[in-house]
Amino acid sequence: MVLMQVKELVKHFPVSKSVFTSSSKVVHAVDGVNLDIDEKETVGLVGESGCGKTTLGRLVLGLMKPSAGAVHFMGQSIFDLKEEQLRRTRRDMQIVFQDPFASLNPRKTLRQILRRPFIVHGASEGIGVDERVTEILEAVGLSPAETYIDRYPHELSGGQKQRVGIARALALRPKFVVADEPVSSLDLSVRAQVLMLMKRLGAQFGCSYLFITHDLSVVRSFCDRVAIMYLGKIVELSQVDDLFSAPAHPYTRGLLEATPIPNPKVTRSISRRPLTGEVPSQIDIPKGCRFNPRCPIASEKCSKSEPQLQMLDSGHSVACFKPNEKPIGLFSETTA
Amino acid sequence: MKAVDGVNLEVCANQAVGIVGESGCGKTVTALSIMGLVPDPPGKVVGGTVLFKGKDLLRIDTEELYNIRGKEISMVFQDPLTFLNPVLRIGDQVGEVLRGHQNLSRKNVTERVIELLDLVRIPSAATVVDYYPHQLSGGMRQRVLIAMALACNPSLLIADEPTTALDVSVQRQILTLIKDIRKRLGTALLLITHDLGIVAEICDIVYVMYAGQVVEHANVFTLFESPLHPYTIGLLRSALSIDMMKKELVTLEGNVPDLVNPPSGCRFHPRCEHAKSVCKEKCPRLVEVQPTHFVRCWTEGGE
Amino acid sequence: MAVVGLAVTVFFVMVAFLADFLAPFDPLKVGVAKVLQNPILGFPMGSDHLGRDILSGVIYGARVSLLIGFAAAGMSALLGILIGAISGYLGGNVDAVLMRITEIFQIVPSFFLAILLVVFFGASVWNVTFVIGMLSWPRSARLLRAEFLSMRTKEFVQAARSVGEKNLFIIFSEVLPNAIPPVVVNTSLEVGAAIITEAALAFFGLSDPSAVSWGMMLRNAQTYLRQSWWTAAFPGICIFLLVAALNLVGDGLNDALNPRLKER
Repeated sequence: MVLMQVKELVKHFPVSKSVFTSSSKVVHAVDGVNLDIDEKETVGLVGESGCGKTTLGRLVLGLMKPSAGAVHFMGQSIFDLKEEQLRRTRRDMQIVFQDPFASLNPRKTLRQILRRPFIVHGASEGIGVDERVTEILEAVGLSPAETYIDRYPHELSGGQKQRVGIARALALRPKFVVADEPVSSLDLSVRAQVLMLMKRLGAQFGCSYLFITHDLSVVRSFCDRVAIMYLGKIVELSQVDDLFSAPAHPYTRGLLEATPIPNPKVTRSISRRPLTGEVPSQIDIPKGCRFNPRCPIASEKCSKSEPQLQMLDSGHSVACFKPNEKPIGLFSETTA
Repeated sequence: MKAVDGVNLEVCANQAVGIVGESGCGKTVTALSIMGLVPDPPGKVVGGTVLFKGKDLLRIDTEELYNIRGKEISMVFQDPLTFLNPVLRIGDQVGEVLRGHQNLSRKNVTERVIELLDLVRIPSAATVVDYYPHQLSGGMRQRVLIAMALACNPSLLIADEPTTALDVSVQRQILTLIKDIRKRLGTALLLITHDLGIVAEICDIVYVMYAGQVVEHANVFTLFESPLHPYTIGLLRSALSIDMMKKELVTLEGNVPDLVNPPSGCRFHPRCEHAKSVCKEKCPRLVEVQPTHFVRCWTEGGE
Repeated sequence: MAVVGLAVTVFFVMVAFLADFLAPFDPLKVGVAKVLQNPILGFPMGSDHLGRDILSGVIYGARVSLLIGFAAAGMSALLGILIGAISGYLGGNVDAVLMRITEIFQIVPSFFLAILLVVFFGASVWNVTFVIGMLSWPRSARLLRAEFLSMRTKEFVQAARSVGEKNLFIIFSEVLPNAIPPVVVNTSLEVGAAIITEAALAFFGLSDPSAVSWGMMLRNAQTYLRQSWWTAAFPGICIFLLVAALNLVGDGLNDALNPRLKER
């Protein structure tokens, strides 16, 4: 069952140069994105800085208004909802932020922070709000809850703060959670813990995740499907294992080859085709295929017209005129 | 609070040594201590020696230290934006390093600056010399920092999380650059990072730090293939990688300890599956259990 | 140092509170002492040109100064917080309109406005308080607005929105407690500024004539300053001490409130 549908979503930000010159330039943060997310599915959204993934994450939750396009959640177009209706829909769509320090109000205790979702959505029938808070604290591993419930955020470690963020997001058992780089600012040993927690609770509560990250290694162990974003558009979308064994888009391949692997034998033996240059500015989008200036296999056609996202036989959707359809033996040794 | 507690570290000429650890393990403080950059207050180096080519850096006078710093040992930090002066041009900032340590004529300085920018593969170096930092991208700025660090052809380059703030594709370019420079100039490298992938790619020897101590160090291949310390094993097992076929995540439970009140005995014992009673009482010493493979663990043959 | 400031302030507050018990004479009563009596036993601060006891004047003056000072600062803070919070959080057109209003209050030469208002509405203690409050709220508003603008994009605010909180709740329960420290510090300084403004108004004869204030005493002392230094010295010293003390308290508050925000 489709839970969320993103249709031709566009978000442009005006660039104000100075008070005197009116600029018609815009930052093309999100430039026409289509994406469907099913129930109980985890979709990864991967890209480097300036690709628009964070903006997309905010848009699908209605935290920002788009320049064009629509987002349908559980059948309703969220941008057509009135403020009050949107607020009620928030019960079912939540967000986990990257920086656990900044996402918790430093002047509130955990109890005060976690009571709010319940109070706002009036979901305290039967057992009291405090019991629900205790329940969710225990569920995220902050146990025994009594020792944590009256603490302030600055008394917790990074991993613990992130657990609170997850507790807040999952408190009302939402159907959809946007996780914006949830483990990027955490220590290595804590990352796996937090990911496991999110996976377990997601399965238990039956929620879907939109997992935003720049790190492909995290995606492999967490997601069912992956979308790769570049300069405001999705350039590849496929099942996760297929993406890693046979990346169709040259950018995806470049990203995979660029990521170091924690295994010296393997990582030193990979032949890499480096991605040259840097991500261009979102203001001056290259003509034709957005990736063509950096693409190792670009042809003349690529600089003239922009490829659309199309489904290949392999089940990948790619926006490329010369997509790769064969598995690449990227790793000479694969760990099982 | 002891941020670093009895660390022994060795970097040989032309070697690349990596220090790996999580936040609070003391890796950055170790690196800063080498260069005498620990802010005092609140920090203070209270013991030990730092021998560089025979001289103890902690005991030489400031004049000599300034001579060595930037010239024979230089450092590259994580965030290029905070380390570049926003109101000075790139050429001036790189030139400053040269002027501080070498006596070159103005013309020579400019030439050398362009040479350095070319070395770090900044395109159109002659134009970039006149740019201000904000006109460059993150990757370019990091290259400028590396150029500044290499200006006087140091024997040792210390890099503290040099690619953490960069995009994946830019990170790859910087890593390639570092490898290339090492090959060309023969500079030794002390790399501090929390990223196991980077260590696996660049380093010859790896030190693993935990709660202010070195818990294991070995040749990079040995460490990844046959780690001995439970922390290293746990860290490697829970590391996420793009070549994981399994979707099983194995976690390392618990949290990094508080350094104000570290656990008694072995600092890792509260999180260790194999903890014995001796682990709670006495802290094991670093022992060479195999040639060049050192471990700090009672189970692995410490005494 | 802040503790010293606090002690001095508390001292003055006590004096003001207990004025009825402490002051030996009614400060407005003419002729209790010889005219322009220099400080002697019985009249430790001397008397003014009408034979009124200066000590009593100083004691009752504390009451007026503190009252006006705190009331005016409090009013300015309240108004400033309200406008600053709404303006900073909502942004857009609301912000534009409110900021234009704020600017109008900032542009008008404050003292002229004060004189005008007092001339029109009369010079009672409450009018004076109102006038001073009206002149100083823009600063609090701008301070708070700046804090709100920076906090608006912080993630815990976005988190509150995503939980479904109403805007009013977010403004007052989430952001305000975090944004308020600069305003608290500023307000403590405003108290001192208000006291000085009142003294200035009194100096020009625009304050409440039935309320003895230090400013009024200074005004009266103008003509006799050369021969009778005590008529100006004591009220003047009191103004100085109280305002300095309030500034120290403000500094102390600044130090106390800021580091907590930087905790990691």
